[in-house]
Amino acid sequence: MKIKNGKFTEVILDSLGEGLFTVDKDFRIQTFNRAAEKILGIKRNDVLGDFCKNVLQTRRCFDDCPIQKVLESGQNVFDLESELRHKSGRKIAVKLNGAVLKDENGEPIGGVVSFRDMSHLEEIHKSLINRSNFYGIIGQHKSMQEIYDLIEEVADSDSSVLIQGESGTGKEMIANAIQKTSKRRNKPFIKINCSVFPPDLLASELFGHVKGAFTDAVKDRKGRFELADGGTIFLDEIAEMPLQMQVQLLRVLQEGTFERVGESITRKVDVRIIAATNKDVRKEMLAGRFREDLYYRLNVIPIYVPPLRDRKCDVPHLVRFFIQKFSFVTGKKIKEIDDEAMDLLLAYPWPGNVRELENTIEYAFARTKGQIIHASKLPPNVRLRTECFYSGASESERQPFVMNSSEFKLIRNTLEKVHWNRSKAAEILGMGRTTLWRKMKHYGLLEG
Amino acid sequence: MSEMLANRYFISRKFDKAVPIFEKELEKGRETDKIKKKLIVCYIAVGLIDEAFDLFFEIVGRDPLSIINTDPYWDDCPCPEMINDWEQDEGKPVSSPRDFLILGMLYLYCDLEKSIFYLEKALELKDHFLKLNSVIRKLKQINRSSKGNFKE
Repeated sequence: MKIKNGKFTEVILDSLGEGLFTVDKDFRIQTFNRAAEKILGIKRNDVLGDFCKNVLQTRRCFDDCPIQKVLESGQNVFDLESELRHKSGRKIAVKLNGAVLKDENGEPIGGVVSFRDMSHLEEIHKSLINRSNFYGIIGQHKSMQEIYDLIEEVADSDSSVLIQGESGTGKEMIANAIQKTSKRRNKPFIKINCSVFPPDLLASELFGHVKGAFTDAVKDRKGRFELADGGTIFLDEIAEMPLQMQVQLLRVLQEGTFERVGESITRKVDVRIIAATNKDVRKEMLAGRFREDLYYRLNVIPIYVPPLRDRKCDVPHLVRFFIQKFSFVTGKKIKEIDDEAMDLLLAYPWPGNVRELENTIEYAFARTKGQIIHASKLPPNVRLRTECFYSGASESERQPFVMNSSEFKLIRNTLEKVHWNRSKAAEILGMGRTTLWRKMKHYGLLEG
Repeated sequence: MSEMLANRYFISRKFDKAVPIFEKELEKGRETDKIKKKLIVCYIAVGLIDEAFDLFFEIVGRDPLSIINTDPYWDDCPCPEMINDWEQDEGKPVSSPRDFLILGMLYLYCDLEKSIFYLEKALELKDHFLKLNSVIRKLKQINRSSKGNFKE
């Protein structure tokens, strides 16, 4: 017995996982399958005969209808990313397909639209990409999530931001993220490191100069503030700025005005300031090296970027990210890092923070020939320091390691503590006796 | 280009794009009154008032109920929005016979008595006087009979 066309249409359509509806040539809904009911929360009997635009109520219905696209181009539409609205008002990310139904003369008499609910994927994408990789900043630790939240919350603000954190924590990336999410994102974003210019040159860099202002001023030149007008300026290592310059910066913050070096004309700019430093600004204030009034002007939105040792849970994410990065850059097909190497990376205190971790992975990449980074390919400082943590030594025995960074001091101190008993020292240091002997020889400690 | 695409432009209120396609479909002789009803609205929207009135006169002469029985929701009729826009057009009072003609035509899609009211005001348009008189007579006749039916 043959299956007649049309007889089982409803059953077939209802068996699909994709939402599907058809319209006639007036764009009135003719069929509406079960998956469409489920995805949109709408009963088919409530929508049959109604115009699709009244049911779906999306902007696309007016500006970018998939069936219109097919009618205009003659080409069916596939996987058009779009949004539909659930009956409750919730937006649903979907991928749409569209086609036109024609009669025997090739005349369009209706259309069919099918759609896949992509909202679950969207959520996974958001949680995995947006929150663990926020504008290039890798971090899922609570402290980093709080920073992302803060950046999003102050996106509409023009207030100054002061980013503090140790060297290598990613302060500039935070500044980038602030700029990219701000309403000034399409305006100039000028960066300057305050520590690299001598005081006289810094004034010229920031505020510009006129011809003849100093020996090398052969023509008028705009400063960074003028270049950033309407946008944002990032002042890195702000604590290195000389006190005299701090006064001028304070004036820009308060009044938006300044003069070019060698000129008396007052200029006005509208610039948002993001400043960063790896120094403790309060200490700098107490020492008289940083103006208190400037600190309070800058510190309207304070952001503290935690050191990597305080967010160790981000180490695996960062490692994965850098492996992908260096795979891309070097063309090597390194895909992962073994457990032992990851344990070492997790145990290391990372005084140089994310930058040091990046360098570590780059080093391991250079030494790795296969597809997996092994512990032996990590830099010696990472391996040795970590070995101390693995040694099972007591808290007091670990102390010398924290206080002294050199391998030589560590080995010598350990040997002194155990009265030069190499077996005990090797056990405390977490290395074999032969390795210890080799290192003692290397450092000239054998005579001891 | 097809009637379906013109319908699509009509429901997304891109009247200027719908006009040439509807005109071509009329040339092919397809479902003319259904298309003409929409084309009247399109012509008004793009300012082709004389063209709109010619079609309006033709349909009222043949089957006025096809316009009078229009349902704003189920026929996706844009006339209520257009009337609203027209009447509130930057606070300008509707005063010219041409404006009255436009409102008279649009109102027939949703309010027969208001349509007659405005069409009578448009009688000053000498070019359309005879046709307007004929339309008004026909519409008044329908209005009377519908009231009579209501009384019964």
